[in-house]
Amino acid sequence: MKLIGEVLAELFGMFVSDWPLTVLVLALVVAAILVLKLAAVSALLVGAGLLLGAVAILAFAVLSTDRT
Amino acid sequence: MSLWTTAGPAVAAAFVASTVEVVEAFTILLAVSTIRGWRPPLIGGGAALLVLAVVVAALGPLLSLVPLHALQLAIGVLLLLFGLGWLRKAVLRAAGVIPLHDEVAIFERERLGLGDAAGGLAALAAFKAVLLEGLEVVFIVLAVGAGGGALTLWSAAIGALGACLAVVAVGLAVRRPLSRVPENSLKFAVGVMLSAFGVFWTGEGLGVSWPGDDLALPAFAALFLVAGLALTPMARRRAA
Repeated sequence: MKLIGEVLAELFGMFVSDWPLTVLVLALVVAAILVLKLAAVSALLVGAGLLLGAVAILAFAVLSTDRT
Repeated sequence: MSLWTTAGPAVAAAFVASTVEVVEAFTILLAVSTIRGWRPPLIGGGAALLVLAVVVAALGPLLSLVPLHALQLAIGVLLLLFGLGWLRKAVLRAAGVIPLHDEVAIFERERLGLGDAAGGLAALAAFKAVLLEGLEVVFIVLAVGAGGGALTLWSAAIGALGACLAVVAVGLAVRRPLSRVPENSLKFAVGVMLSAFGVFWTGEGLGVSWPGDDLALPAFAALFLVAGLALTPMARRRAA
């Protein structure tokens, strides 16, 4: 059971090792879905926003990390 | 869409990403073998490969039951989380903000940790290492390949298999931790590719028709590469 717990924790850690980044990515995708469903914005424009949003999240995640 | 633009990025992404994971598993197998010989790591590693085969056999047919757009969206989001996380860490390591991954140190730590462990414990350490890193390889193959149909899935699987064979062949030849593998550069490249795949599949899942279809992937990768390279000196200056 301990081994299974460790394996599951490791797998979970693959995606949420940096929780602010995880939250921002999920928020970006939810925003993209909402804009697509609620506003009459073209899908390609939403795609461009998704791409630039991901780059902005990367920049924020890198520049907000302190030296360890 | 040509065969190259469909299969090429999947083979390359799966090969490079899997190389990083297999190097990490091989380091632990090698550490175990120096304590108890090759029998425990072969038994533990072999058992882990059997478990992985069962997982793949069980998950594979389930994928065909999920609607394609939902699968692309789910895989795209997971790839974005995974890819941006790897790219962030690679940029921070290149900038000296966080320490580099050291295979020799991991090898020594694993050896000291095992001490004079019995064969069963040594095999268990090998089993866990191969299972964990193997699950990451399975995820990478599914994530890179499953959104694009059978051709990309097979391409990703071939890339991962090539990485396993290459690392095992080189590792058995040198019989040392593969510390000269430029792991951070590989992780940087993997982060770039997985982030590009993540945006691509998330967009496809939302119904975006990317200009140039699969040709959008190299353009996305170029953007993440430029961003990563530009952020490295900025992070270095900020941390100084």
